[in-house]
Amino acid sequence: MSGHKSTYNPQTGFEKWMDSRLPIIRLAYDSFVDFPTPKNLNYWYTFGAILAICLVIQIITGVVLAMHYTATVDDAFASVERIMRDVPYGWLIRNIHMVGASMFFLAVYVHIFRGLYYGSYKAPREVLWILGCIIFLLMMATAFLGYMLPWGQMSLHGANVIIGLFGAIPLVGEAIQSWLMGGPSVGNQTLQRFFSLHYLLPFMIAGVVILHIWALHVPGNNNPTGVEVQDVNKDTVPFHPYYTVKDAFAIIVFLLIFAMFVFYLPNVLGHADNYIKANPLVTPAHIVPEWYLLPFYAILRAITFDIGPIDAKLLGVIAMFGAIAVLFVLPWLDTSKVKSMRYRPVAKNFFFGFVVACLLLGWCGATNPDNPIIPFGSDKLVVTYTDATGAEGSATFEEYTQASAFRSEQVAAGATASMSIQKANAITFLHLGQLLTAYYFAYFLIILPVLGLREAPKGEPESIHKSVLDSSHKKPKAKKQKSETEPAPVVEPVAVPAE
Amino acid sequence: MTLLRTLIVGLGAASLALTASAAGGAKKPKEPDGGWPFQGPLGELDMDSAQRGYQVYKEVCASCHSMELLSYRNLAEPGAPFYDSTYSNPNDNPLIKAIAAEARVFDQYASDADDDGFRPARPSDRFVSPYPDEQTARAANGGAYPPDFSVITKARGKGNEGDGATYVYRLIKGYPDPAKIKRRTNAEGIPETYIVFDKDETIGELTQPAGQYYNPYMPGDSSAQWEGDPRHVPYGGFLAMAPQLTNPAGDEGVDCKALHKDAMKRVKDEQARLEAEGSALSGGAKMAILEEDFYSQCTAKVIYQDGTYPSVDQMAYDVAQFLHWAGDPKQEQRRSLGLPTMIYLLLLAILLWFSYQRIWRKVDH
Repeated sequence: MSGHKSTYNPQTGFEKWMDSRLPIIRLAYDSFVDFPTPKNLNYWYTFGAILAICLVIQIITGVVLAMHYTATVDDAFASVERIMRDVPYGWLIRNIHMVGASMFFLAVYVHIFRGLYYGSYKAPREVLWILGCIIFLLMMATAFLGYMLPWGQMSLHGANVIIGLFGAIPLVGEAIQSWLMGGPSVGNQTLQRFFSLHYLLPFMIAGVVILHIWALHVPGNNNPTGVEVQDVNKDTVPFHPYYTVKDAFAIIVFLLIFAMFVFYLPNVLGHADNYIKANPLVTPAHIVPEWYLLPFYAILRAITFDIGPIDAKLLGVIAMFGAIAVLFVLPWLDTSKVKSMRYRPVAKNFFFGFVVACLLLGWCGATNPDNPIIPFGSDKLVVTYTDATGAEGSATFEEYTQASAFRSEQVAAGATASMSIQKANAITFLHLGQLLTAYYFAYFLIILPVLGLREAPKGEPESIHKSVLDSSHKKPKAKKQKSETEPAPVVEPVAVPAE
Repeated sequence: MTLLRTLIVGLGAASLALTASAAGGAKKPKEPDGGWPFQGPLGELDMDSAQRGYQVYKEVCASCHSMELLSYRNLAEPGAPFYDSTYSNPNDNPLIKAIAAEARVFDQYASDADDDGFRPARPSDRFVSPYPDEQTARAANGGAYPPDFSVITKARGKGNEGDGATYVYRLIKGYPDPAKIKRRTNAEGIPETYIVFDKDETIGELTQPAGQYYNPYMPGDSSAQWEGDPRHVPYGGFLAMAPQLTNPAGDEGVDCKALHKDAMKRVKDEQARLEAEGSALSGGAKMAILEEDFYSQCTAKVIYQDGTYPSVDQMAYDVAQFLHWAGDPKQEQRRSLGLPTMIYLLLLAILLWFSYQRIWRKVDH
């Protein structure tokens, strides 16, 4: 923390020499060894360290993959398979990189939701939060670019869809589109620039991560109570060894899940169509992004209506980017003085609703929007016909046999007739997606601003160490320790005799 | 605990989202009875089956389907169907040399090239494709392009181990019973074939387009060919490949299964007799018995060298297993490295848990 005095004491000659020239060891010591950290951080707070590991894993495996990868439309697909088949342990490196992208996003979503729940975006951590949003945006760009590189069917057609979004921007849309593609369509030149950018962006992420940690270390960590550190001695512990060991434990548990996917289910998080070499002439039946982008894809598709002069496509794009942009201004949208939702009984429920909404949006993004969730009645059959006089008509039937008989009659009478399905009215995934999109924006733009002014917070502790003391006295373990020194009267639960 | 629960719920929701992603018109393929031997953390490929599967691929599929990403040497690398630990370099494996040499590669300056410029393939060569390019392949197959089989099992299903193999297995077996395919002449006087559906709500007739074959497991849409309730169109679609595998069949009244059973019994007896004498039954002698008692009376699509009965089910199972290996030839290494890694991480997690408990023991938190 900024107010924290450096306790680094150079011991060896080299350390003293270095400290008077470039105090980098002092920086590391003050940041990661004797950094005062609130003592009440729970496991949700380990995801920062987990994410750092994810980034390192992705960069190391990625650099090795780039040594063997060929960024041309003719060879990219085969070169990825060559890595899987002929490069020593190439299968492992590639599986780690491929699964790693998903694990990275899994961790970042947990990290973001943690920040939302404990109010980690509020003053004095607004810049920290915004830097995190920039990292998230860069991650999405990197993942999208990387998904293009194996040059499978989803790579190509996914890229077409996403780049096509820019085409919705008025006036300059098409120019931006061809600038991104490097030509009139997604082709070799697109693949090469995507590869180049996919190599560049992770290092930009690494740069912003350094800023993110810097911005974290100025105000210090938030904590589950949301109450700022008041007494460094009572409220905090040094980062090492207390949080190094806690983070290390969490990292290993996370790696266990990671390894399970790498070794036993390497392809389950991807899409099978990406093992079909890209073919511009064949469009896959369902173009879907990777799972971690599905909620945003659902928001994009939820907008099916024009508003004034803005057409649905552009609105969808605005909504999708808006869903991310709104995160940037969140520190000024949430008006509550209380950081942690632990002490915000109403906001807490809205928050859990928001988590559910995001998960369901993911489901909507993966599903055909026209699929019914709750149908009203059953599908009917419509026979439309044009009789010999040119008059048109139609009739609706429940049963196929009746519809078929009617059609035959019409045909026998010299009319042309055809049968089609009249879908029953239903609540579809589109409707669900629209509802959830509305909730997504309402959460940030209406609920948090209004609730912060109206909600009565409950039971915020005076300080971190007081809250820790309170909660540890409630724990059975603490009771037990007490009873060892001073045996308390044991109250046996009395069984109520049945009458 | 809440963390774990939340993670599980999150993963569950994610996987739910994924399963929902690929809903299509094709019938969901069901795993063969008992699943696949390579599934699960301790799973292993059935190498005998994969070897037979290679034979099916070579003798049946390879006449149309390439496997461009594979080399002959791959067949004898560790974790591959023909791996032999005596040959650490798979290129030295005589079996693979023989397998490769059956194919011809255009290499006009090679010392062993013939007058047309072709030489026998070497283990280091890629599998020789049946057609020189896509255009030729399409021309030879009525406009349809037989897909490359290198990663076909990874390109189908939802990414679970065995999804692709299950798809291949079910597709091969999934063609309608020939007895159900009827012939007629349509209004324009052109002969056509159709299939009568009479189960559940899917009642009607499905006309097969010329040169196309219905298969419920083939992704597609059969509604344009369907004469029946449009709300209950049969699963799947059409593909240009006719059913390729047939059960062993003999003359009227010949029970091939029984003949095979008897022949295998004779093989077993012969083996026992020779073992008692201290020698063994050679592969050639075994095949001679099978030839005499079984293959002389029953025509089979593939003659398995290990004596297995070449039913459609068996051949489909074997070729699916082989293609599953081919799609991910390092899968045996993957699974065998997985378990020690998981155990190592688990032990490390336990140690770190106790370290954590010890370091924090004096701090209320």
